Amino acid sequence: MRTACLVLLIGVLAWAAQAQADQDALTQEQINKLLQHGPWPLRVEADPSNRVSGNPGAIELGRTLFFDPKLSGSGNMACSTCHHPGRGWTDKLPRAFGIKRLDRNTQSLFNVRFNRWFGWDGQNDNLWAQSIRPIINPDEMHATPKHVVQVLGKDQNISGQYQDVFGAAPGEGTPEQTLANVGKALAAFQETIVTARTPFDAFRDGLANNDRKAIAAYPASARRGAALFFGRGNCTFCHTGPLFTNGEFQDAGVPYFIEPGRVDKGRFAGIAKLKSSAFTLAGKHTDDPAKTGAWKVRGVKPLHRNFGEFRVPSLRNLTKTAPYMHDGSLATLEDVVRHYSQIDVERLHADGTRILAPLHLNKNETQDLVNFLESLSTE
Amino acid sequence: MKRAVSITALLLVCSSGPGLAETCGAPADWLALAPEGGTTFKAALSVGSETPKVGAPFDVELKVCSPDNRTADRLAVDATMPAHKHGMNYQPQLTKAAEGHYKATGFLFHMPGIWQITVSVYSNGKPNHLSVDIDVP
Repeated sequence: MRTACLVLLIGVLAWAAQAQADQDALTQEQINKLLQHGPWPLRVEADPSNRVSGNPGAIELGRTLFFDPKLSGSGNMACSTCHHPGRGWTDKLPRAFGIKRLDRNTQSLFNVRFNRWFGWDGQNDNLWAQSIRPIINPDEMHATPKHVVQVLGKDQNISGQYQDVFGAAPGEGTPEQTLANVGKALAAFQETIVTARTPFDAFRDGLANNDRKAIAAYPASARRGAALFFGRGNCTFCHTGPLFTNGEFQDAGVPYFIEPGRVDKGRFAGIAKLKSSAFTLAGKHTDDPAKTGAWKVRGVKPLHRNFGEFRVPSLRNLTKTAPYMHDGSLATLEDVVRHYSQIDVERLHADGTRILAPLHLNKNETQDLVNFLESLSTE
Repeated sequence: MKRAVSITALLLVCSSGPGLAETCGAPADWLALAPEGGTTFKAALSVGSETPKVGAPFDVELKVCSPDNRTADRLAVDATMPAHKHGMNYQPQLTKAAEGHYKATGFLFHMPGIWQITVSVYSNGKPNHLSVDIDVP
């Protein structure tokens, strides 16, 4: 009996020590940073620039249009061709295919409603403009505003839905206005693609509420990975907040040569396209009379360092959206972690204190960081 | 004699340096900017009731004054991260609310760390710079 009690006592002490050791993997400073990455989900608000944001009829119309290839010039390509719901709202390819192979990886639509900028180069400042872009891009869906008016007008079902949502038939007003409305319906649908809570969120809330059960449920390896992420990895310089992105742009050391003689100018070109767009939040198609979002397009500064900068993506649901980076050049999360572990700082055009520095992670640390990143995805 | 010295010392202490509440009549919780290069212009600003959050836009309210009654012909505001040697991705828009009172909209700090807000006051064609550091967690 006495022996059994002794064994039990030793076991309890060992468990307590391990629990404490695991919790001790995070310093208070790291915990403070970690707590800023929640709570999740974020509060959802209607987009004031889109008068049909949140409108059930518009969401349904947007869903119909999203999956319908007739919007494209050829009649063969829908939004869902590249943004497939069964493939993490991407196409699982390194670089997208439209009429021909494109230069960049297809971005997922998970949580797209929370973005400040849209596209790898941020050439749009709102979701409905970003939804229009591939429709009229000659390398992608290769349509025109007039084509969109025609195909909508010929489809009685869609035409009826459009009339119910916008109070006018497709083509009433200018073709550009109809295109903007189509973008707004597509945006209303995409706003519904919001991810659920993850193991990280349960851990984060556990720490916030001192819930020992929730804290203990988080795998030790992911906890060690969190210590790297919120500690010497400095990942939170850019991947910050509940969305795990600051919503801005960064040179992450991924080459921006597309092929010999051709470069991807990234944010630099994106700002130029933004400033010439008719569909910004400062333009005539916004439904917000106060133009509250216009400060972005009015205030954004073209800078030399924008060359080679691409939008910092959210890290939520990463396990579903491989491959990674603007050119899809990194196939797995292990590849991504190795990239940052061995990054060549000489090719980063940055002065002053290095924002990015090689981490020189060993095999176990690499796995820990991967496990942490995986905990940011829904199961 | 001792009392005279004490009163004099007290007056000297009270009149030296910009107490927060004394800077251009700004509220006591505003931040006083440090002048650079010996300028006599003074300034104080407010970033709102909370420290700016990374990645969240915010506005700045600013008061500028000159004890020797120099006129501010125009102002410019900006922010940088001195350690990283980069600035913001946005140029704030400045509007004048009243004499010596301004509002700057469209600030956004996209990284945690020390950000330095700089106010440049142009008087008779010459710039006068003042700055304050804000630690963004």
